[in-house]
Amino acid sequence: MAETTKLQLCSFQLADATFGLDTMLVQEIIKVPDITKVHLAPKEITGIINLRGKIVTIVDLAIKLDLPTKVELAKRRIIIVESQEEPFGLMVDFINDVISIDTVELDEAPSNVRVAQTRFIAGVFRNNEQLIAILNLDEVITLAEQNSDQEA
Amino acid sequence: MSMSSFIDDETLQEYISESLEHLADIEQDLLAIEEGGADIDEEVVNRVFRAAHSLKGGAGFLALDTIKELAHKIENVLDMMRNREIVPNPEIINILLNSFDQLRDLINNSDTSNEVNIDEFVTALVGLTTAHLEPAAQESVSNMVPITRSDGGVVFEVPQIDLDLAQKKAQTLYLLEYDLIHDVYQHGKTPMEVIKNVMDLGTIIETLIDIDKVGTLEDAPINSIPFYMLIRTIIEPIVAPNFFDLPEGQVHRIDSNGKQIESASPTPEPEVQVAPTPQATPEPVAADKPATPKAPPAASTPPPVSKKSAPAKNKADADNVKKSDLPTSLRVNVDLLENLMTLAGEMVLSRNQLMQAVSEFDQHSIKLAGQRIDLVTSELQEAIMMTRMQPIGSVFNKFPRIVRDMSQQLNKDINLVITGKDVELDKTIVEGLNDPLTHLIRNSADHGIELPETRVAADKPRAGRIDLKAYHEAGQVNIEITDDGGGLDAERIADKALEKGMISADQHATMSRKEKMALILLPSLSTAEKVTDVSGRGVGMDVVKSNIDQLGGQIEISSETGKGTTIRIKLPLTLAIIPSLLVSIGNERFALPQVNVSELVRVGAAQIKDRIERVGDSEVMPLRGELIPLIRLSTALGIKKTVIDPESGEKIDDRRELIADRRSPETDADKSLSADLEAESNEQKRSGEERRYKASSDLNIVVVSAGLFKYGLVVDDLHDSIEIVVKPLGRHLKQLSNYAGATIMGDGRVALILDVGGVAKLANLSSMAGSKRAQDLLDASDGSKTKDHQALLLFNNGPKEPCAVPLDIVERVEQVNFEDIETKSGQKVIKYRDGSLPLFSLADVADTTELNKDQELIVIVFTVADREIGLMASEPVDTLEIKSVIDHDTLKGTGIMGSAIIKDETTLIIDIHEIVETLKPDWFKRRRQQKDRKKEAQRQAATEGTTYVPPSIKKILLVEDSDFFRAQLKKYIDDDERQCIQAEDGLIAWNWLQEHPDELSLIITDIEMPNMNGFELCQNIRNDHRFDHIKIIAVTSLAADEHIAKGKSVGIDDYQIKLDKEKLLASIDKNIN
Repeated sequence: MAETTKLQLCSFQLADATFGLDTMLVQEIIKVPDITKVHLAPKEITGIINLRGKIVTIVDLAIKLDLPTKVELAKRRIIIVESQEEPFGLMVDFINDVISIDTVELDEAPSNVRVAQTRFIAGVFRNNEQLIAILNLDEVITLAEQNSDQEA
Repeated sequence: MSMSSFIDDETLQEYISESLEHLADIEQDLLAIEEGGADIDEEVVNRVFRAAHSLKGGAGFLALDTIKELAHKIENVLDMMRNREIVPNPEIINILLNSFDQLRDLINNSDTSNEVNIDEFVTALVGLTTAHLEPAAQESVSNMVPITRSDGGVVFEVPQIDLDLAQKKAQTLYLLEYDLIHDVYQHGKTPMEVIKNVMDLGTIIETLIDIDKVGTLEDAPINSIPFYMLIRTIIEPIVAPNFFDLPEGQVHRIDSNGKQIESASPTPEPEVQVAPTPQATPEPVAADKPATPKAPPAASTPPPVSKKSAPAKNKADADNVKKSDLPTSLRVNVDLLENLMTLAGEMVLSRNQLMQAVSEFDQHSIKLAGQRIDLVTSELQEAIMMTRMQPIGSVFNKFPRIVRDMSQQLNKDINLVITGKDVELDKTIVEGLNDPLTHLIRNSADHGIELPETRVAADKPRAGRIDLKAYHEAGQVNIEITDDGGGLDAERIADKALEKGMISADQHATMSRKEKMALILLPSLSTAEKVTDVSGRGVGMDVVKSNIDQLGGQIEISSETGKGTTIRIKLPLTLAIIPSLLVSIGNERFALPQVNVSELVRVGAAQIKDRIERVGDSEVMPLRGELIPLIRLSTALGIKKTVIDPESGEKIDDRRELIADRRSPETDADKSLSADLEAESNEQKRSGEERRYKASSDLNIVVVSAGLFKYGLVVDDLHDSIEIVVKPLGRHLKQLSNYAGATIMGDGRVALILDVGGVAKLANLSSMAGSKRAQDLLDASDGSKTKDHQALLLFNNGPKEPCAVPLDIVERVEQVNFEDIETKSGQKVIKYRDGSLPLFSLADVADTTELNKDQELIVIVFTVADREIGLMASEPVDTLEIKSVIDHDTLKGTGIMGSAIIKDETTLIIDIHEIVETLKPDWFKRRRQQKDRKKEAQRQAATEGTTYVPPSIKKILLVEDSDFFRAQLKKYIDDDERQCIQAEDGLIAWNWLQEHPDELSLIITDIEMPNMNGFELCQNIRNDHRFDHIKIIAVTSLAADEHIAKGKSVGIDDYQIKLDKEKLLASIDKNIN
């Protein structure tokens, strides 16, 4: 507890909840391009896009985290991340800011976090009366696979 | 070894890759040598020798002593072979093959090669060498002679025989002393280059890197690494330093005793060199001594046979090694690389132009740059693909060895004939073919080709033959493996599948032979009675199939019991770029690999209800005698269906579940459909041509083949065929078997590539489903489902005089010029192919308009009475499938069968037989004979004074539900001697038969009929002995093998195609009672 390390977070919004993702995991943030729908795919997979010649799978976090969004598609943003050497796009409502925090400020995800599945949250952190949930990237992406098994 | 520290990895890698390249063709060459026997092709032996020699040279430098030794021993044998001191025989070749296998193994594992024990190979090889030497010379093989420098230092020891060889060949021995630092690296050369240079000039006997001279780390920095090479060459001493690029002092001449000759500069003549060989060990063998006397000892060579098993095992290991480390580097032709560089340069240039043009908003320049980039890109793509292309020979080349080894093991006699080694394929595909092809070749040799005795008993040549062939066809590469062995037993395969519960008894009964054979591709179905050592290792044909599938290929099996089997593999040229057909559902596009697309069918809106059948809850489309199950892509993928709203032209949701539902009049959509049709027909009156291109409610069907069966994929729209680059899908989507990947389109958007097999699975369609459904449909006695359709060729006789003929009887349609028509003795003819084609026109027999010169003239070619004839007509020509509603009375006339309303116009249906019969009665032999017979009978009656009794009229029962065909057939058949009794279906026919059991001479029946179909009718007739004397001819518009087989089994005597008048009449003549 004594040693403190800085963590840079890219904070983003989904419905009325604020999330953060380690900036080291973020490759880039893009606007929503033409998305090709993949029929029969798990429902949180919005589709696939062409990112400079690479095919990127887009995961809609609003569906994944069960946070119904009111933002229209064209105004949303996609955070490009990489997991197991494969690029993914996480669709969020909008990007807030990049904030720097001390890891000691992190708490475990409290039970009142508005996300049904707390395992997506690596921790929470309070910033000016606002709770920011830190996304557990691996969990968010891994579970999709299990889901798709059931649905495929 | 310690010295490997001097040698950089790069040199080692270079050596390894080069060595493997040398070894690649060895097997083939050795087999060629074996085949040649005493008739030695020096070119080939030299090639193998050089390979072994290069291996030795490099290994010496890299301190790979084991490799060096083995290569050296092999080299000795080969050297004797090319001097005709050893006559190659299978045993010797076996030893060499195994030794080379070991060598390859060693090179693949060069790190540990020095620890490998190669004694058995060395013994075998040395055994060979000694056995073929004269007894006196034999000890020279093992007698080691030290090579001594003038300072007395011994560099290394070499076998006496190597020194003797130099003498025998009048060559000079040199000890070359290279300093790796000063003579090699500082000259900008690599050690390998130096070795190669030396090898070009002479033969390396022994090499050594002198480590002692290098010193230790504590010593002063290394400034010299001596590298010794003992060589023999014909190069004269005076020029030697020049050739070897060494200072004079480092080229030492060695005498035949291994002693350095003092460089008393002006060197003696080489002959002198040879002469002073005081203790020249046992008399050297004359180089040109014929090989024959040496042959017998071959039989006495002890080691090879016993050693056989061990090296074979090593080989298997070597195989594993090979598989696990496939080469990661690729050799590219320098010219090609240059070309790539140039293109890359061009690309950069064009990009700069484009950037500039864009910044200046110069439309014209942008366009130019765009064009240029387009051009360069295609060239670049092509060039890059070229680098990946490899001749398939690299895989094929290993099969002679495999077949040879197998025929020895199995005691079979097998010839492998390979063609098309040069055919090039993508590197990945060539590599991926290794396993499946090996398996197939093994299968052919093991299970396909019978034992010689069996073959002889079956009147086949003793030696079996396997053909391995690669060739290009339609942008694909085909590989065929054909054996003339026992063939596949389709029934046995099917029985086995039934036994294992892979198919149901029903399927077993209804599957075609081809389908049964295809079952062999299912997992764990091996028909080999016993598992042999050679095949049957648990990898079956299913593995072959999945391998081929992975490569985007298709596999086809055809086989004839007793005659042999052919397995055809169709492969794309490359995996990375595949030609595809773009289709769409709504505004979503999908790519279908062109390999899977067999044809495109567009069913016009008006024809949907006629062309699409419903079986249970699935839809099928009859296509040339086959029933194609249909899958709506939108349904399969769960996409909302759309139809085009006839008023607004917009796409709206389609509420109909199935296409065939379009028949039901209740739905709104259907109303709009009929409205659409009305609009269409109005439009058609305005512009008849355009109608065909309007496709609003037409059904677009892509007939695809998924491995062994076909189905029709119903899509909204068909687009272009384009070349696409396949990109893999992410891991979340990989498990969706209906997609094969994704591709990026010209507009930057992504399109999914469909996997036709996966889509079929999604729709629960299996290989068997098609035929099962076909059977269901066939068995369905419900008349509403089986209709007779008639395909017609529409044309115009005169303007506004539409005519039609049954399409089945049309051979071709040709366009001709009026000027080309000649009239010879009253008959119009036209030059056609090699002869003249007699021309007729409807106006010759009927009261119709004459064709005039202003019209576009076409000639419809038919075969009538075994002759080709042409019917003159005019454009436009079209084909149409209609349900037969033909009026046989109103417009009946000579040459006119009747009329029908087609496209709102009264169309004359032409009877071409009648036209020709009217105009050329002589052509019809039967009629003529009949007339002759009648005349003869009348004449006879007249002379005998009796009254002429016409022959009794024979009654033929004609069972046919289609009015059109029945009328047509009746017309063919009825004459003075025969009369048709007509029945509209099997039941009517059967009832008639009950009442008139004794009147009939013949029954002609259709198969597909309501109430009682042809099969059932036959079965009833055959079960009733009253009718045993009556033959039954079945007529059908489709003569599929399955039908014929089924027909024969229920007692049908002959099968004929409707409207093939000549054949039908011949069959009637033959079968009538």
